[in-house]
Amino acid sequence: MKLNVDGLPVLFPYEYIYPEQYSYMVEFKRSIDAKGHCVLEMPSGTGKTITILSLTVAYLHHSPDHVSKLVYCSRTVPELEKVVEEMKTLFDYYTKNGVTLNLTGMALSSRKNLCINADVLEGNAGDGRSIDSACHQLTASFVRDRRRHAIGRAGADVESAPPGCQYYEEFDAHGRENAAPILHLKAYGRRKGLCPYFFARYSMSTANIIVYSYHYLLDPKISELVSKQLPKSSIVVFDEAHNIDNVCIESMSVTLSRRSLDRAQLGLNSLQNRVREIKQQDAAKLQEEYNRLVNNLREAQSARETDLILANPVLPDQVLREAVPGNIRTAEHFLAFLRRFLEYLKLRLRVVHVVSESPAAFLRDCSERVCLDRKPLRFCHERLRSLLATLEVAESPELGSLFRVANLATLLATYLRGFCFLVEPFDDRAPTVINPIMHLTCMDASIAVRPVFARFQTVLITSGTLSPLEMYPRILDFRPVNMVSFTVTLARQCICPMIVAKGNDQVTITSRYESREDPAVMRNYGSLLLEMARVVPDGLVCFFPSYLYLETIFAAWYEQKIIDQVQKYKLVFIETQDAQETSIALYNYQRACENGRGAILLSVARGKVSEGIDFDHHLGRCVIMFGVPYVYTQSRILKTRLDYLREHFHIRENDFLTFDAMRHAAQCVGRALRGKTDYGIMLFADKRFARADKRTKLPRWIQENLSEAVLNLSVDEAVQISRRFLKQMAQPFTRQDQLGVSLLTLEQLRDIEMQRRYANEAG
Amino acid sequence: MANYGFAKPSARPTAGTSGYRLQDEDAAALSGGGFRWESQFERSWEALAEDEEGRLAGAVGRLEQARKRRHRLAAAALLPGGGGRASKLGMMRHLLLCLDCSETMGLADLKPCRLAACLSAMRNFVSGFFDQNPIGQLGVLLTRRKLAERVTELTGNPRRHLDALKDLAQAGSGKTARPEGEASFQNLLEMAYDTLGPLPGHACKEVLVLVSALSTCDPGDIGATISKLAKARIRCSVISLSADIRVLRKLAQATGGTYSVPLDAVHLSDIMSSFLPPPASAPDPALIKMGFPYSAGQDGQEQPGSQQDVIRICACHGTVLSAGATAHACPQCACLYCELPVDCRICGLSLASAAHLARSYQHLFPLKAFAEVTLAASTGCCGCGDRLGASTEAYQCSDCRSHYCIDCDRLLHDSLHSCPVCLQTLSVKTTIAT
Repeated sequence: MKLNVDGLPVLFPYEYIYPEQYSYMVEFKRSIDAKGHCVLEMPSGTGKTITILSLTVAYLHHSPDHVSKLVYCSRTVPELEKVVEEMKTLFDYYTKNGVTLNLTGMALSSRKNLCINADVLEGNAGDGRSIDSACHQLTASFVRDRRRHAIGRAGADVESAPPGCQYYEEFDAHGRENAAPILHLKAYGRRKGLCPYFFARYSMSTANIIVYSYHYLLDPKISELVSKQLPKSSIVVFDEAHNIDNVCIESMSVTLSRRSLDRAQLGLNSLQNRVREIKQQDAAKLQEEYNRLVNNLREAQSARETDLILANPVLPDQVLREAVPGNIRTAEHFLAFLRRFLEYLKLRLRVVHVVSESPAAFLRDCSERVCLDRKPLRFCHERLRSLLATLEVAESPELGSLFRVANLATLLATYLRGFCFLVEPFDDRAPTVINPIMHLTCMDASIAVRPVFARFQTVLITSGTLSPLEMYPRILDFRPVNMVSFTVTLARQCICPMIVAKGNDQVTITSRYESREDPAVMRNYGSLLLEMARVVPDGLVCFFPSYLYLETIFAAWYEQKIIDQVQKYKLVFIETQDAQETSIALYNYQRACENGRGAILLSVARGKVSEGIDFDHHLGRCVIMFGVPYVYTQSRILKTRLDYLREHFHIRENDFLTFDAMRHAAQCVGRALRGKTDYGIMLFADKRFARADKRTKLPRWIQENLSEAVLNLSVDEAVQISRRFLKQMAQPFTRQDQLGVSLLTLEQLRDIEMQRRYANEAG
Repeated sequence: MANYGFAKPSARPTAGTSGYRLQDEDAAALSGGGFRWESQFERSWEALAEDEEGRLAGAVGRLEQARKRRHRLAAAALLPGGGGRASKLGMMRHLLLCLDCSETMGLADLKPCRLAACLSAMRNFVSGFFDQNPIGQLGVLLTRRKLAERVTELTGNPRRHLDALKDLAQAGSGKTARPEGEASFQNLLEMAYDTLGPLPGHACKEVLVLVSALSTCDPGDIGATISKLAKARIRCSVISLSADIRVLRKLAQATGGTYSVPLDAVHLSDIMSSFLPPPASAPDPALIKMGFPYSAGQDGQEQPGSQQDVIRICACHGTVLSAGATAHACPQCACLYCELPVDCRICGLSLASAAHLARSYQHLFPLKAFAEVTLAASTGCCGCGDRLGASTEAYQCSDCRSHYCIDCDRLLHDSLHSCPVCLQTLSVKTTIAT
């Protein structure tokens, strides 16, 4: 379908288009034209991905000088794969229409997903970190040098040389002239004998469309390596961005337990040995490094001035302007310095009360007790990296812990605001077991994301559930030119949201902390589950605010024989904190839905299930949200963050908590509807959902279907409504019914466009 | 215009007109004893709207009219001149009527309860089925307590099915069906497969399942059973009283059947009656050898050499035929049968009477659909003689151009299968010719 979006010819690879897709294009184009950032919310299952892709590809094609690159970030691997497939469809459609695109696309993923070296995969199947270090041990530049020397010396005797990766060597020799395919990169790599990971990394500089995970852009450690080449005139899209603030915060936070400190100590010892060895063999190398450090990191700074490097939040500008301080320039001094810092941390970990202090207080204490200054601490991370390169040591888990310690030092010394240092002597759930943990938590999501907003001309934040929209610009600290929430046009009312506020005995049901343990509430929740299990076909998904609550209520239901009764109708599966166990439960849940036995999945809001798994069609005919999914409010990290938000962003605690709870609730119930032919019941089982402050924070497309009549239902009323709804939805529904309402052909689109134009002119 | 003056057909829907109704206490027993106030809110008032004068009578009449028209349209779509109709029909229908008799059948969203409503709809269906498919065969299965049970064998005798269904519905008959346990659709379908699978290729094999449960409790993989059914070309259609169940929809899709969910009792009977005419898809075309049995009654032609006081045993039931009863003897092997149509037990010949074949003609040479016209001037209906006012809807025969009212249109197409005016002209012509 050839569209005309505000003067831009757009090829859309399908015969029909949803009205909201068209409006989305119009709004998105406005933001690109204005070179500003925007926040757009459109329900899941309405084809966001293809909308974004077809508009930007048209833009890249028609005005390459205005926009040069699209960086598409999403969260999970399956989501990224979906994006790549849509891109392929779009490219094929262009070819079919006889338009040659000078665009290339590229999807970057981690080594874990892309590695094809059998030796690496064999020992470390599925473990991302160990695959990374195994790859590093084969492909690091000094390893390769050594191998080359060995081969050169030994002549033809390749066997005795240190092992290398043949795929990487092949890529290094011949891979750079090929153009990367978007799909099946791994298969392509196998066929050509190229390393897909490095191939993808290399093609990033030439590709016009880059698809990868958030972390490549937001995590300062990775973005330094991967994303520094991106030009300013790029469009950055954060899809599924409802959790972006948490991703930012996680990437800037460090957590250390006693175990990881011990491991760091081991790493430090091994480094020290290595330094001693080298000193005996090759002292010149260390001297060379020392000289380089005297000349400081000026090279990096010059690169930044030419606007090539994405600003690294860990390594702010002023750091680069200074030379590495004298007391950590030599390797031994630096290691001694680190050792002292490590001992200090161990000392700090020996506490009986919770300690919470600001970075400034920490630094003062540090300099008083162990005489470590702020300035050298700030260079820890860079200095350690440089040392590792000099010592030719490949990464290992012990060094990973040491890096975390160095990272902590750098972050603490760099940012005096927006961070908080916290030591907890024990876990809140087990207050008798001493298990001290040290957190450096970032409280300000904008620190990590600021360089992205500052650098790129257009950043799009989009998701199915972003309401209330105005919250995101505030917590991420940017100024959008456009904020729109799109609703979904439906030919039939295929979502049925309801708020169940009381049981059949008229007892209010709520997951409030005070009434959580109330047996009447638990019983009513149980009877709600039982009644819905009797009415809903196939799959039923339940979400609870926390694992703890899930366990308590499940135990109560078991005692009250509710579980026995439920199992007559459906099998019950439970999400646990163990990922392996959960994926087995999910697999069997799908099987039970598939073969007609029917199943219930009990899971937790904010868990793996609520974020990444789609329950389309029969897999999720009904979602029940047991209680408002407030975050665990007693957590100290959260409390400090709330304080910070109140002081610096003027967001009241309650506002933020409600916002956070409602976006997770919306995310959970949104799992049920994954397309326009899909349908599902969304049950909010808590009286508090009916209050205006909660209800209005739901996405617009849910609010519109939530009429006054269904705000205060009892269990049996909800069951009656569901029964009627399910019968209605099972009636035949064809494309003909959708056409013209929720699905438009080109002619209909033109008509509507004309109408709108007339209306605008008249108005 | 001739006026044949036959009585108007009943304006009521077919459900409940068979003269058979459940007693109230049976209904209460079957419905599982739920309280009235726990059952669904019925918003019967929502369907009604006052007309301009604020009266309801007109609105009710309009609703009724709309319902009739809907029915007519559905029927007319199948007729020549009304819409598409495949030239090949599966006339030799072998249909298994399967009933879910699990616990959920006790729900009272259909009145008096799902089970009673289904049984009554099934009785109507059985009568209608043999009316429209005289050489078809029917069998009844049910599932409860995770098992499948056979209620009646595959046979062409409506009497037996009706009796069995009556026994199921009637309290105190000893065979009363009570909703209990869970349903097992795999067991049910396996039993259907065992019954229909061995039938020859020219037979049109169908299964119609009435489902109330939302889940199935199976001993094995139901997917394998579904593909087995699809391979044997057994068309399975599902009527689910509750909701859209994935595995059953898959069954319907894989085997070329339909999946429907009735909203209320009228809708249920509408859906059921859509299964009455033979389906369009044709089985393997084949010439079928059929026998027309001669009557071996008291006064009929006896087999040569047989004596009056010989005990005659009917081959289909193994019972002794009473002295005066008429039996049908197979022309090939002279085996006796008490009812037709039937496949001979001895030589396998399909036995039918000429009348059965003649009645099957209605589908091969149906009465063409009448065109809907708006009358310019008032006239009388050629069927019942009622006045048809000007500018009202009437239905016109495409051959003789005579007008009928909607009730007569339905009667002619559903029961008589001929236009009386056309027939009269035809008989006049033949008279003149002779």
